[in-house]
Amino acid sequence: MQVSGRFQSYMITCCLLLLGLTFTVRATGEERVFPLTVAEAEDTVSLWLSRKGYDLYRRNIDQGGIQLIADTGESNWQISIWPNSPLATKIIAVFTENSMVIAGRNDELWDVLDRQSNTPALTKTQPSDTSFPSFMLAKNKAVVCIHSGGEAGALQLSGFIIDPAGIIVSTAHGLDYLQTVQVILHGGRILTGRVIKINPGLDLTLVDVSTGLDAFISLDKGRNLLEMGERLFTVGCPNDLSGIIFSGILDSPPRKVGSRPLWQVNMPIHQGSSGSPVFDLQGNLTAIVKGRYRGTDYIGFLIPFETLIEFISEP
Amino acid sequence: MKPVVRMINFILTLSVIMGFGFCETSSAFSAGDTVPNFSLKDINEKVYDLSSLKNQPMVIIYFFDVDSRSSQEGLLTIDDLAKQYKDVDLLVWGITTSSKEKVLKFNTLTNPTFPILMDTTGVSQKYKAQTILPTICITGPELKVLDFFQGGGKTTEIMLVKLAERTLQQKKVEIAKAISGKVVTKNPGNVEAKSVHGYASLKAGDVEEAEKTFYELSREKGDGAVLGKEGLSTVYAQKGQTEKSLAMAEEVEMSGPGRAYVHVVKGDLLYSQNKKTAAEVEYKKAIAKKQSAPYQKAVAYNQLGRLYANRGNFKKSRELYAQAVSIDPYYIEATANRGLTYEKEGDWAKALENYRQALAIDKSDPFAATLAKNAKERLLLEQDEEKRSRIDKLVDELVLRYRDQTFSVDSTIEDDWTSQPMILTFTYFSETGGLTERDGFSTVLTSQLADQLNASGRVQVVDLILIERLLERLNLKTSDLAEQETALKLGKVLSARIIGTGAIFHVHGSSLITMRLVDTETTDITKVINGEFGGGPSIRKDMHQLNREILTTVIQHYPLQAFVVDIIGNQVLLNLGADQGVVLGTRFDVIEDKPAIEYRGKKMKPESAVVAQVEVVKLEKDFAYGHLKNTRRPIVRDDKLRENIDDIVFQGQGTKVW
Repeated sequence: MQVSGRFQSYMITCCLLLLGLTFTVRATGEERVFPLTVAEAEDTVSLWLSRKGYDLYRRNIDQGGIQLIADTGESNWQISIWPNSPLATKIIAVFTENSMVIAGRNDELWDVLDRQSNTPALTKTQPSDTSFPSFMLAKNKAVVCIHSGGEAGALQLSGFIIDPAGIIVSTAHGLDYLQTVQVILHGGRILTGRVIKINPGLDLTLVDVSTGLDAFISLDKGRNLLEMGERLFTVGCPNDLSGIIFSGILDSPPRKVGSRPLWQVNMPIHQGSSGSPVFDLQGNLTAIVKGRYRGTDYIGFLIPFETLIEFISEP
Repeated sequence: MKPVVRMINFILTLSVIMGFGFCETSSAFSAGDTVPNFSLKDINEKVYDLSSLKNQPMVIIYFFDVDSRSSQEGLLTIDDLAKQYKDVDLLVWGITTSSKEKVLKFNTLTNPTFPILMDTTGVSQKYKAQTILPTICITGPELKVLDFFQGGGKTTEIMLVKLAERTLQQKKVEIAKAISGKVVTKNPGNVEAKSVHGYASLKAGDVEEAEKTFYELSREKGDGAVLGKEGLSTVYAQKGQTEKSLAMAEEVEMSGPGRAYVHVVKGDLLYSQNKKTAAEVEYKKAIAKKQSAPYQKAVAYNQLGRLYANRGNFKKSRELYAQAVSIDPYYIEATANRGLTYEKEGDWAKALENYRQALAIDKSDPFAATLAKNAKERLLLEQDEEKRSRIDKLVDELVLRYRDQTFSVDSTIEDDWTSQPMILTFTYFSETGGLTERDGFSTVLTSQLADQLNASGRVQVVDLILIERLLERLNLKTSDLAEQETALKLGKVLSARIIGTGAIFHVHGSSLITMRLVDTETTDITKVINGEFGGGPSIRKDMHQLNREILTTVIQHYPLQAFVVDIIGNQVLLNLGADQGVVLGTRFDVIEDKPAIEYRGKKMKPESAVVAQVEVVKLEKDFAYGHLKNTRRPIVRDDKLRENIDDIVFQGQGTKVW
């Protein structure tokens, strides 16, 4: 019997449809989308299955998906994972027991994935509001790490370039007039600097690296008066980590130490933060980090901008 | 009865109680012995073969009598915990010589989560558990004895504290807290259990609870006060309160001169202050002193091993790591650290052997898994001559490009709108600060992130082996990449649009990371990500969060751009595919550029209008199909598409059943 080509193709289509239908019926399962990356979803599901004592097999499937097959001999999970965007994942889970597909067994899996989805963001080293104004990235380039002394008496400070001719401001504690220090620029370049001006009373110093530098923080854009509760930002070298940005809140009235005012700030201040520039929300230079309250990492003291101007203006 | 006879009877009774009721003995097995194998059935005739548990990190074999309440106490406490905590993962086999009927009744009454096996073949005799019950044998990897207990009452309490310590070693902090909590509830005077509870809270990241526990303990008298102060010293160190921690350590040294762990805390603090010689002295003191839990003593050996490894003395450090593991067979950090010493010597086979041992302790450990994967790849590469020669050829080309400063340009790109693949390369992460228990943090960080970013399909990360080979050929050290200019040059040669670089600073109990994503074309810092990686179980989550942040930054700053190639009904064909970073579900806006407007001599460029949205439903290598949504005008060929991040994080609510 001759069968026309058109009829043949119709029959093939029908068979394919039927096969597709059969597959759909056989693979009864549940599908959900989670705000997890594919890697995170796979990791979470794998961990869950291996903790339940399943042997695990993994294979790549179409459209950038992966399938995890877990088997104990009696029960079996087939979990297919596809991206639903770069930051979301679609999961289809099918559970079989003694070769029978069992519906409604996914609650525990969905629970585990829900919990993973609700994991808080990577613990930030700064207070809860984690957004930084974009200007901080530019300011970052003018910040340096300063090292002095050997292993036993090593001192590490932060500082910032205020003049493209190579003049840097930092705090004075632990430094001496005309002392040589090592200055590490934002890009990692190491220069030798010399303390050319120091005022231990104000706890400020100027270091000269005698090299032309591109990035600098202008003293023309400074601000004297801050308000209580105002949000501030600093970038420095805490613990010798270059370019760390922190934010904090001015949380206490100015206190007088000697005849000079100091501001108290609720901001992460670590070893090596002294000398870091502090900015307000508009990017104005407002202060310099002096140090932290002994025994804490979150209560810091700032040298106000006006004190810096006073220091620079001194003969 | 004469008083003398009464006295003899009393002494005999007491000796029976002492001998059988409260005896902790290791006479049947010593730590490290392999337990005898057996095969027993439960009441349903299901066979349980002990050898099938050879690869299990911990097994509790619990011999008991169903008629004796005191012999069941520990078993029922563990069962309670197993019922309370779904993920408890405690593998327990109860074994009894009681009759089938009695076991059936026991099972009906208690409904245990683990099997109760009928000893019909004299297994109890092999374990010397015929007379004294309960007899409890805790085994570690390879079914080697960790602890052996006989007797109920006080011994059960000791067993539970030991079990809490063992689970703490396995990083099962919640269950360690639960077990020690149960002991404290029953006996508020058990200071060891309180101490384990404090350290478990600390490992779980609950510093406040740990501080509270140790503070209360420090107010007690005798051993409790010393344990409490030692714990407080650890808590203060973790909080960054160095002076307070050192002051508390001094107090511990005065009141408990035999305590070892306090010297580890001091050693870590001194190391972070760059006083390495002084730190070494403290670690050695910790090793020499006797009073500490095994899991803390092992840390002392590990830290000294880390110190020697950092000095390049790998042989000595391996000896110390081996000692640490012999004390604490669950010490995955020391096991993996030993592998890293081989890795640094280029012996990838031995490195892999150690990483596999670490994975036998916990197959989900992200450090060991990543290090093992890297070592396996290296070994495969050593055997694959063809791949090696392919890499060498590529490196030759890259070396020429680096020296001539010629960067690759894809000649097939005909327009400046269509996106090219987003290639990212990790260059250098400096590691400073304290001495973490784990070595190789930056290696694991970059390898894990590379794997996760590659898995996203959106970003391609340059193979770390390729970078390593290229640096070798250019006579550059990894640390040379701290110089941004060099890193950028290298990034451009590798056709990377972004380089990821930064610094890791280790503080007690956590690591601070600052990562800069730098654009190789503009040299601008696209994003600085600051974060804190907690130690222990949270590291896996922290890695994923960092991966999410990088992906979000890429999509926000470098959205995919494409053109509409064809429209068939509701479906559009795009000129970008999987190779350029499109994945299923990627959302695009179809945009329409608006002409510039001139108003009173001032030119304004309005924002593009969104005229439709496209969701990718099918992918090919270089093109993709998408469904049109929210169409405001007919979409035509050459319409521009731009990736939209706003709506991609979470689409689809609820469960779909089909």
